[in-house]
Order: sequence, then C-alpha cells, then structure tokens
Amino acid sequence: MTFKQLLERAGSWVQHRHRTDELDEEIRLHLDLRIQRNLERGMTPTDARTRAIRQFGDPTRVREAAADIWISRWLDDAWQDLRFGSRWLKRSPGFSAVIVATLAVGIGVNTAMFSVINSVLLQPLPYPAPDRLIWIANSHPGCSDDCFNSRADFAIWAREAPSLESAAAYGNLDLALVADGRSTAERVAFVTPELWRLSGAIPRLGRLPNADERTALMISWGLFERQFSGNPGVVGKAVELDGRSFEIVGVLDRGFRFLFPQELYTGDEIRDIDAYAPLPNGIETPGDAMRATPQTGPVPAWVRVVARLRHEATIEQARAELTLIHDRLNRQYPGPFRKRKLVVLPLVDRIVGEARLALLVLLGAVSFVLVIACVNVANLLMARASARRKEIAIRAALGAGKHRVVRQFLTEAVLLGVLGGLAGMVLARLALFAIIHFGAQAVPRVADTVMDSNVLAFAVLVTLMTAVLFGLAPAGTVGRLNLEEVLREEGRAASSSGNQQRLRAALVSGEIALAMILVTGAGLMMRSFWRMNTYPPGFSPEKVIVMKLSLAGGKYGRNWPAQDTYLRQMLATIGGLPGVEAIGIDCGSFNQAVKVEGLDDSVLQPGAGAKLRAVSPGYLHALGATLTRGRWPSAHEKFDVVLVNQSLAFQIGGAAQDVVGKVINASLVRNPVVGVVADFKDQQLDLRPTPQVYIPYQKLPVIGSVRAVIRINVDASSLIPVTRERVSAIDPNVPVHRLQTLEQDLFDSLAPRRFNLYLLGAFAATALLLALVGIFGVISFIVTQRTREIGIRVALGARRPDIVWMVARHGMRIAVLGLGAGLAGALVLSRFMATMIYDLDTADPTTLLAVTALLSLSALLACCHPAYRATAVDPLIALRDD
Amino acid sequence: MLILQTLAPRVRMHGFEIADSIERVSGEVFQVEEGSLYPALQRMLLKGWIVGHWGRTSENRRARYYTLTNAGRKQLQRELAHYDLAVRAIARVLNPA
Repeated sequence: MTFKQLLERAGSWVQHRHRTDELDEEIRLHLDLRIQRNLERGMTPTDARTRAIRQFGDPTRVREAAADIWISRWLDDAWQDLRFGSRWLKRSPGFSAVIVATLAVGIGVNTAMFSVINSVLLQPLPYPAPDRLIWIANSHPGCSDDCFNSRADFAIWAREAPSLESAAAYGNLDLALVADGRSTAERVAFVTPELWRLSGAIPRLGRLPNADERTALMISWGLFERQFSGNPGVVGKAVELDGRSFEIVGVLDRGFRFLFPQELYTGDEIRDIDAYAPLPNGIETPGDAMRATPQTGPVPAWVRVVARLRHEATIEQARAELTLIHDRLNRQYPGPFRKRKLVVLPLVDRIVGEARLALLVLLGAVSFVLVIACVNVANLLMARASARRKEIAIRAALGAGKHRVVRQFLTEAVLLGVLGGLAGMVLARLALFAIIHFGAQAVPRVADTVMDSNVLAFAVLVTLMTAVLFGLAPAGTVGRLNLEEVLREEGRAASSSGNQQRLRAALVSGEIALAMILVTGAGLMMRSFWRMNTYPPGFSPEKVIVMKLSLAGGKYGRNWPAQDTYLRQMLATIGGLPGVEAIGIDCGSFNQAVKVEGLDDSVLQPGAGAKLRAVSPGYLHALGATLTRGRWPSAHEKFDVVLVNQSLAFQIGGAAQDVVGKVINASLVRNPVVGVVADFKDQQLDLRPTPQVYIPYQKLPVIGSVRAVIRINVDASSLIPVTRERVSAIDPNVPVHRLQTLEQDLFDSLAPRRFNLYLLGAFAATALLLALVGIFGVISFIVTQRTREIGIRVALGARRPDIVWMVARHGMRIAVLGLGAGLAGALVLSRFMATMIYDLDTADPTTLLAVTALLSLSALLACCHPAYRATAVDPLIALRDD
Repeated sequence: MLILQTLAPRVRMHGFEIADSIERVSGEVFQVEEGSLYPALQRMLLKGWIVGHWGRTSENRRARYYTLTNAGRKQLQRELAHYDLAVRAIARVLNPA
C-alpha cells in the first residue's frame, strides 16, 4: 500500500468515525424529542421510552444502516473482519501456525525452484543475439564429452562456412600469473578477437585487445579487485604469464560472464576465468599445425569453437555446410583422429543441456509439494469450517447476513495467505542461498540466480490462488446452511456431510500418492548414489593423493625433452618421499577406434571406442589396480607392451584369455597385450568403466597437463604440503593445482548428482511430511466427530485395542488407496528419471518395497495420536455431550 | 419523495421535525418508521439532493438541519411527475371509462 493510499484509508476511517458520531447524536436527539412528545401526551416515562424506541426502531441498526450508505463502511467492515480474523487466528495458534507453515513451505520452495529454472533455462544467454549462437565440436564415438578441435579446424570452419557470421575459438589453461612480484594460479582463456564481439563484452577500464596484438591481456573485474586492489593504474601494467610478458590493456565489466564450456581436465572443477590472452593466429591449415614449432609462451593446442549464425541462416544449414567441410578434411588428412563426428548445437543446449532434465524433474517434484500443501490447507480449513458451523449459524441468525460471513471467511483466508506468502518469501530467500552456494559447481549458470520480478509475480499469483482456493472452500459450506437445522444440531463438533468426508479422504489419498512418487524418485537416486560410492575391495581412495600439473606452457610447451626431464625428476623426488608407496602419472586420454590383430574383424562394436590412457608404469600400482590375467610388464619391455582393462577384454572376446598376447592396433600403439587389469574408477564415479588400453606415456605426441597419483601409507594431510613444496622446488613456474586426496576428487566429481539428490530428497521429505500432516488432520477430525459413537462403543464394552483398530483401519484405508495410486504413478513417472539414475532399473523392486514400507509405517504413525486420543474418551463425557 | 416535498418550501428542518411534519400533514396516516428516515437522509446527502448543517434547537441542543438543494428540487419535480403518471395510470385501470 502506498503512503497516499494509507493516508486515504486513514482519512476515510477518521471521517467515518466522525460520521457515526454525528449520526449517533442526531438519533439521540430524535429519540429524546420523541420521548418528550410521548411524555407530553401523558405516558409514563418507561412507556414513553419504550414506545419511542419501538416507533423508531433499533437505534444501533438505524445508525448502521445509515452509515452503511457510505463506502467507507466497507472499509470499516474489512478492518473489523481483519481484527476479528486475527483474533480468531490468535485463539487457535497451533492451527494457524500449521497452515501458515504449510503455505510457506509450498510457496517458498516453488519460488526458489522457479527462480533457478528461470535463470538457468529460461533466461537467454547474456550475449547479443543469443539464439544465433552455436557450438561446433568434433566428437568421437565413445566420447562421453565432445573432443577438442584443432586450431586448423577452427580456421577452416570460420573461413569456409557461409552461414556463419563470425566464429571464435578459445582454450583455457591454468597458469601462474606474476604481478608486482606476487604469483597466483589463475585460469586463463586464450581467445581469438572475434570472441569479444560475439560476447558483446564492454571494457570497464581501458580497451579491448586489437586483432593483431599478441601480448595484450584483459582481466576480469574480480581479478582487478582481488589482485590489484581496484587501482585503475592497472591499465598498461606489465605482468608475466607463465614466464612470458603481457600487458594489461583493459578490465572487463563486473557483469561480464564467461559462460562458454570450459575445457575440464578430467576431475577438475569449474573456476572463474580471470584473464584473457590472445590466441595468436597463424594456424590456418592442418599442414600449418603439423609444421608448427614450439611456441614461445603458453598456448593451448586444442580449442573450443563458438559461432554466430548469419541473420537469415538456420542451424541446419550450418550443420550441413560444416559436415561437408568436415568430411572433406577427413578425406584430405587421414590420420589418427579419423572417425570423428561433427556436433553442431545451439550454444545454450551445450551449456545447460545436461542439467535440463534434472531441473525439470525437480520442478515437477516441487509442484507436487505445492499441490500437497494446498490440498492440506484446504482440508484443514474445510474441517475447521465444519466445526464452526454453529458459530456461523448463530452469527447469521443475529443478523450478520450470509454475505458478511462469507466475506469474513475470505478475509481470514487472505490473512493466512498473506502471512504464508511472506513467510514463504523468507524461506525462498534462504533456499536460494543454499542452492546457489551448494549448486554452483553442479548446475551451470546457477550462480547468477536472483529473485526477479517474474518470480515475485509468480509467488504472488500462487499466494492469491491458494487464498482463493481454500478461502472459498469453507465459504462454500456456508451458502448451503439451513440455519435452523444447524442450530438444532447436537454435538460439540458439528458433523459434515458424508460426501464432504469422502472428498477429504480422497484428497488425502491423493496427497499420499504424490508423496509416494516423490519418495520413490528420491529413493532410486539415493540407491544409485550409494552404488556409485562403493569402491571395489582394495581400493582406498583416501590413501591416494592426486596432483595436477600443467606442462603446456613456458619452456615445456611442446618441448618433449624438457617435459621428459621434468617428469622423471618429479617422479623420482616425490617417489622417494617417506610415506609414499607408489607414484604414477596419467598424461591424457584419447578415444580411439581399436583393432585387435588376429581376431576376425573384431573392431569393437561400431559406436563404441576405447580410451587410450597414457600412463607411467607406477600409475596402476598407485591406484591399487589388480591383474586378472597375464602379468605386469617388466622393466625392459615397458615400451613394447600394453595393458588393457576388463571391459575391453569382454568387449573383444568375451573370455578375457583371448586378449593376452594379441596385438592391439590403435593410432599411437601397435603392441601386444601383456595383462588385463580389473576395472576401476579413478576419475568419474558416475560413469561406467569404459574399455581402456594403458600405453606408456612416452608414446604421446604432445603432453599438456599431467595427473599424478601417489599412494601413501601415512595421513594425507601431513604429506600434501611437503609434496607441494618439493614439486615447486623442481620448477616454481610449473603451476600445481588440485593437490588433494583421490577421495576428495571423486567426491567432487559427483557434485551434480549429489546436488540433485539433496534437492529431490528434500522435496520428497517435505512432501511426505505434509502428506502425513494431512492424514493426521483428517483422522483427528474423524475422531472428534465420532466421539459420541466411540463413547457409546466403550460404554457397550469395547476395549482399547478395538477402538485403536477402528481408527487405524480408517486411516490405513486412506493410506492404502494412496499407496496404490502412488505405486502406479511411480512406475510410470520414474522412467523419465532414467538418465539420472546410475546402474539401476527404474522399477527397482528393493527401492519400491522400501518406500512402500516407509510410507505405510509413517501413515500408521500419523494415526497414532488420534487413536490414542480416541481411547482416552471418557464415555460419560462423550455421551453427555451437548 | 416525501422528505423532499417536506423540505420543498425552503425550510430547514432536522430529522425529528421532518418525521413529525410528515406525520402531521398526512393526518397521521403515515406513521413513519422513523428509523428508516436516517439512511434515506444519508442517501440523499450522498446524492447531493440535500445539504446538512449543524445548528442549535430552541432548547439549545445540537441538531443537524437539512435543506433542499437545486438538484434536490429538480429531483422532486421528477419524482412528482412520475407519481402523477402512476396515479393517472392506476385511475385509468380502475375506471375504464
């Protein structure tokens, strides 16, 4: 309410008071004069008064009728309704609290979830013409993610596809930034100049880099404040990135977001990109790439590509054009990475695509919660209205008029709705805070979620709808009242019609069905989550430290001898530390098609592929991998043989035996298999182990980042600082990120699933709680109604168990109906969740059984208190009842 | 209509006086349910047919005196005209000659 409106309201209220006072005075005068006249006519004072009043009519009613003429009367009524309503609320605080809490929960979680959906799925990307932005990538069959593109690919696509208005490439590296003598590890994006135009970036200070500048650096606002204390003198400052000099030419606006998919070295985390360096051109064809000499300075060898379509072009056109180019390149330059597929997607799909399903499932879940909440509230208020029928009847008989009574109910309902809405807003804020805090790593774009005006409007709408819905519910019963009937009714609590009872029971059954569906979904997720977290015996990830190094830049970039020296030194140094049992490195994985010589045509099934893992001999030992067939390579043959894992062996022959001794032919190796190791999960817990071939890392043409695993037999927290120190000592310019236990690594890899699980679990628990409240309410009410009947039964000799059985039976009947419907619903709907569940059938019987048992027990529990109350009925009191 | 007519001769009366006047003039045929007077007065105030002013009675009591406005006068004419029409019509029905 604006101040003006408030003033008006206050003014008319004052006016109204004034008016009623005046009327009082007029009426009093009138009566006095009439009495006087009557006295003059010779009546006794008593008679005079009586006759005067009779002739006049009830003065209060007259005054009210007169005042009624004025509109402000309506306001006064509303105010009175409000006061009376709030008094009623205060008189039954528990009841009101339950309703407000239920509403708050329903509105709060819905608002929060809708906010998230809004900012993640609905809001367009914060770049100009976001619907024309597309993602182009090579992809390999068997890849779980798209692969990297070479810079030559990018150059050719940008040049030769006419439906692209512009294309930009980028790649990110984690590098050491040295400024003013301080060195920090930053994630740096190397971008082609088109990216600035594509993203519509505006420099807050300084300017954007020009196309030909090779050492111009842009930094983010965050870095500007963090490292340079917001000093504008940062423009023009010279800094070092990985040993090479750059000059800061500008600072990006605070609101700029780099939402493009980052290159995530497996198991890594999403970090903010704080600096942007130019991606130098010069690689225009695959020929250039092959001839390239080691660059002076850090540059990513592989890039990601985003492009903007021309205004009139469609993505299908672009896809067709690019596929043609892609096929042509494949023919022209046959090489190790053939059999690739081209992926062309709208950019937004690439960014949020994986999260979309989960978010929609969560939105569905939260709508169930809202429905349950509304039904509960409606039920509770309907029950209450029935109980208040007598009160209503009396008021109506006293002249309140049905209209007024209905209006009063509506006011009470609106009051509850408003309170619930306000509480819901607070809850939504808290929920959003939690979601953003815990979900930033799990869901893309969630960090930017705000409660904006759309969401506010949604919340208001929901509040209003629920207010009207359950405000009308009790008001509806009033209309059909036959006042005399009701007044003559016996019993403290008036009974409601059988129809109404059945309706309420049906509604509660519906609630239970919905709750069952949610709990089943959550249960499935929980079970699959638990499965993911079980490690094979012998695998103790808390005893393994993982360390990530980047050898992509500085003097190591593309400098194989330097890399080799460094790695040997590192392996020796760390391997020699006390407490270290084994150390190994993983220098990268590549998805390849794999041939096995000697077995007919048994390239792995089309569409499948194998991962080539370039590792050191100690890697498998450090992870505690076990051999199932064959043997470990000996020292002298370690470059001539490979190992494979069980999945690969099964894919090839079925019986693992067949593989040992066979020669594996993939692009980088052509060597016999000497042993088969059992599958293990060392990176992503939620991926099934893929067929893998373990090759010596020396076979790689290029090394970028290196992942070291160190098996220890002491406490990790004591060894981690020492490790970092020693590694830095070898070469301080090699940045060390990610130095933590494998356990933590694996834990982080599950962040998205864990997040979904928590949310779905929370919603399911809420739904269950609300449904139980529903049962509790309905059964309680029934007990109150049938107090008399119970009293009679007890008087006739029924014992406690009989009474309890009677109540429980009623409750369970409602519950069973709900469970049945819920089961059916769960079977149907859980199919939609299939991709969110790992390694589990959506109709998993164990889960269904467990959920059914849980809900039945809870329903039984909810009937307990009312049942107990029923047994405590004193038959004398019950029979004497009114 | 009766109230308006009572106030027509440019007089100012308070509530009781109006009721009294109607009673007297109608020869005690209309025993006005006096309570209904006041809502009617309020309605007319709202519509602007009368205005009220606070004054003092002969016994020095505060009373609200009502007078007819021009709009009220016009309204009276309208109502009288309607009433006339109605009466004639009834007469014709009762006396079809």
